[in-house]
Amino acid sequence: MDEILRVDNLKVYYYSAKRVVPAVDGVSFTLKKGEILGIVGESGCGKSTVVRGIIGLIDERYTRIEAGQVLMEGKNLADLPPRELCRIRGKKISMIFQNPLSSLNPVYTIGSQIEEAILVHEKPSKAQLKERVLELLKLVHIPAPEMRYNDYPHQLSGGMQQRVLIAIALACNPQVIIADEPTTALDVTIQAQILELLRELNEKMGVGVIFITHNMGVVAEMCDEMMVMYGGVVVEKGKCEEIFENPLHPYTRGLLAAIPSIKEDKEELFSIKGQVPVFAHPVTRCRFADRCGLCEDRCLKGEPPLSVFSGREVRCLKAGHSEEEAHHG
Amino acid sequence: MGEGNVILKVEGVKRYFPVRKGFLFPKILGYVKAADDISFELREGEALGVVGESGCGKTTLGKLIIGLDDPTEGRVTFMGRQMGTRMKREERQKLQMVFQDPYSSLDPRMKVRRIIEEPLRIHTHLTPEEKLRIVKPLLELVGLREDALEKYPHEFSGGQRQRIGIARALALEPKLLVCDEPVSALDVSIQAQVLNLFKELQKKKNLAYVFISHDMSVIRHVSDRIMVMYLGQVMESAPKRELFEHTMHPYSAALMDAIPVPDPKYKRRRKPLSGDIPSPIDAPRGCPFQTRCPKAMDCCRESRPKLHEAAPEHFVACHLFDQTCKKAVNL
Amino acid sequence: MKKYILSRAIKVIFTVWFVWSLIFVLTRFSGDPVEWIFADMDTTEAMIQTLKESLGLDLPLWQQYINSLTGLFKGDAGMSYFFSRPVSELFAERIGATVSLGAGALGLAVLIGVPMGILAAMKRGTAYDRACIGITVIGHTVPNFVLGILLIFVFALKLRLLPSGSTGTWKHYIMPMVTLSMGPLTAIARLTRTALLDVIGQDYLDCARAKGVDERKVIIKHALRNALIPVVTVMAGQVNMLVGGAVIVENVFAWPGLGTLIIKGAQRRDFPVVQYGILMIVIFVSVVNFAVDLSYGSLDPRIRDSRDKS
Repeated sequence: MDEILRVDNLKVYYYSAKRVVPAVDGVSFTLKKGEILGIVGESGCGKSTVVRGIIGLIDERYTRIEAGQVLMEGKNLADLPPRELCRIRGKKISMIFQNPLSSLNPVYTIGSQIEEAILVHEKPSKAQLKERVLELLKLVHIPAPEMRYNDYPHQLSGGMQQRVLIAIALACNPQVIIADEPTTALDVTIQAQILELLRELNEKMGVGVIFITHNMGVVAEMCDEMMVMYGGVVVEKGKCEEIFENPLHPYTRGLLAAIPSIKEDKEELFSIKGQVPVFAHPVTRCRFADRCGLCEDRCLKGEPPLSVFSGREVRCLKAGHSEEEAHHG
Repeated sequence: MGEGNVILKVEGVKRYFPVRKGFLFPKILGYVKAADDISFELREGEALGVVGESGCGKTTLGKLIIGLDDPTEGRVTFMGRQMGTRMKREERQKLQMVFQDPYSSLDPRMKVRRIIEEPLRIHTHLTPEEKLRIVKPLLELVGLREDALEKYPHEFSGGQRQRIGIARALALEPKLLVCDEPVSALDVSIQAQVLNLFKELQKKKNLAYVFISHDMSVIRHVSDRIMVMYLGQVMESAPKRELFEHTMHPYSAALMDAIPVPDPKYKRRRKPLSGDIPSPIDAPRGCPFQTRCPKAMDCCRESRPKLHEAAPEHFVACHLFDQTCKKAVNL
Repeated sequence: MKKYILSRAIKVIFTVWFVWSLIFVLTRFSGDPVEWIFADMDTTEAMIQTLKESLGLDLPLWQQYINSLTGLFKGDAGMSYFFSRPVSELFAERIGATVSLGAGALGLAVLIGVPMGILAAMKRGTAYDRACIGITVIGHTVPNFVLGILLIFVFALKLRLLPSGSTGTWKHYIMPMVTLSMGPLTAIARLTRTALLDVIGQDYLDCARAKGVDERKVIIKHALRNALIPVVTVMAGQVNMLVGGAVIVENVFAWPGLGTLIIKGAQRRDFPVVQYGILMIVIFVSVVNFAVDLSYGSLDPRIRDSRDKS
């Protein structure tokens, strides 16, 4: 099909003095052309590490890609030497970061920072280059691009900075954009603008987006497919609408119930008990067991596999049986 | 609502920060109006939610309420005493604060026991045993185990630290807690735990809250009454239900609309507000929201709308609900 | 920006005047130069009086002050009591030796200090990094007169490789330059290292990597440019230290520069020499600091902006 990126059993481990943390422990997914895939989870679930593993932005002193493949156009990015990976980054896959101000270099103008993204991969003439930068600025709806061209990052508002970062990501017409919590640092009304822009660009340019967020609301609005992560593994994966309609994994259910609603008054929020634990390799039980209300002996005897239920993948032994009782309980 | 004594009174409070230029002979170029004529009352056991985006002055308001800053004009009175930087510390006992960042607001070198005891040590002369008799139930109240006492903050996660911060704030049996973005640094599942704790405490201890947040859904969950701020001014203020069912101000509506709803069926083409939040230094004349307001009229550019009671207990500062302005437009 | 330069220039002038006046007062309290000049000589009251008159020392203090200040404005710094020659002439003869020594030491400090710091940051935690830290601690704590004497002892007295003092060939430059540069060199190396380490975790480096920029260019174009901002500031401080260091090092190596002149002048209560010398130092230091502040603005647009507003 129009599959543009495939991640196969990716494992990224952190090595600290005390232990080996399986930050990403066997994650697989595919991204189709023009699709928006959401990766949701709380801090420490490994969602950022997955995408950093994909484009090789990991600190090699503490982190290693342990296993797995990242396939794009027949190449395995996980195996590529750094020099060749550089040719793919920015050209085929690019990335938008969480904190727009700190992601822009304070000492260069935004024009030159966008130019750099083009010049790394192409050699256009000076006039062409400038024209392309101005086009990109227009594409992300920055008003008066000619004037903004020579501005420094600190002279722009947070929303405008994020638009510049999006322009940088789009500079070479990539097939995949990774957006790592791109609206978390922004005000809500600005967040709405940026989400709107990303959706528009996705439709107009057919670029595939991997959208990382902790915000269930953002996933619901942005994504077609979604993947819920916990403790370095995928616990539930499927169509967005189906998961929100009927979450099968107890963690997904808990996350959804924990969100205060803007639409209605809830007397008490559902809360998942306990804290996110730190895992050490190897993990030999269900990672959610300590916090799960449905935990049984067999959940502690081995890690449940990611199995398919009605077109959806769920990592829970009780999925399919427990959904009824949980819904009424 | 309407029951209980008024414990906090904020009357016409203004806080202007001058913007200076020049080194030897600085000139005052203008003011950042971080709080511009804010008035409200808070009753015992009532929770007021203050919501707004960055630069709206909500944090400045919080500081003025707990007396960490003095208003340029107007006054804040808490239980009959005027709040300000010059007040004595025993006057602050019944009003405590919970901070945003559970990492930097706890001293990393102090054990939890000392952290929670600290207000008692400053304000009372209790023996260690007496202090412990107060601290232990507090821990239980905020949902921490007793063995937490002898641990250091770094041994706890963000949510647990926030509980420690709350326990510290509760040590002196305050009447009012000012909470500045207390859950925005926390994960969703942990945020729910802490929000539940706040609600529970409100019931058990008859605590009043001023709850400052940028998140309308969090505010909706914890507040009895909501005040919407923009560029230092109150745009709308009403009891929660009234505000959500009969939203008047276009900015309040935009804030609610901007929250992504966790329901894919809702996936909609919203019309986000265009433009950026203006810099508070050169806030426009007239209504501060005019530059982004979809319903802005001529009179919004000329005169600043006054906060007035457009419906019972529902205050709004918008010319759309201002009879005089409407008349002017009709003429 | 013009306003900023103007206000800075006014501040520099004010500082120079203030230090000049302070030195004027302090030297007058240090004792009577005439006593020094006539030391070990049989003198009469009349001789002393004539000398005082010819040097202008018989006038009241405020008169002396006005005289020397107006002289300064006319470009006349007065005569040295000891050499009986115009102070400006004495300085002109010796300034070359001092400037070449100082510039050489500064060049050495930058050319070696900055790369040393970069390497230490890139290889942090390794043996090379630890060795660098060790050397910088030594360079920072050992006073330069101790180092100078040590070098003379080893290379001049024991090994007889280098001349112990005075000037002439390039060999004469080696030991004074090394001694003088040690402090600034290690300070610059240490600061480059920490500044680069601060910058290395920044998000904009990841953003550059995500564009496809290769690692070497990420460090040079994005990291180093930002790391150098604090280094330049410290460099200004180091130039100031160099001035003080030069006075001492020149004396250790009998270097015929301004440092020896000023020290001798102070010992002989040769007021015009001391005053003029310190005036030169103050002007030099002020100008360097001013220049660094300006370059700071061109390195960091955020600072430039805050100045444009004022």
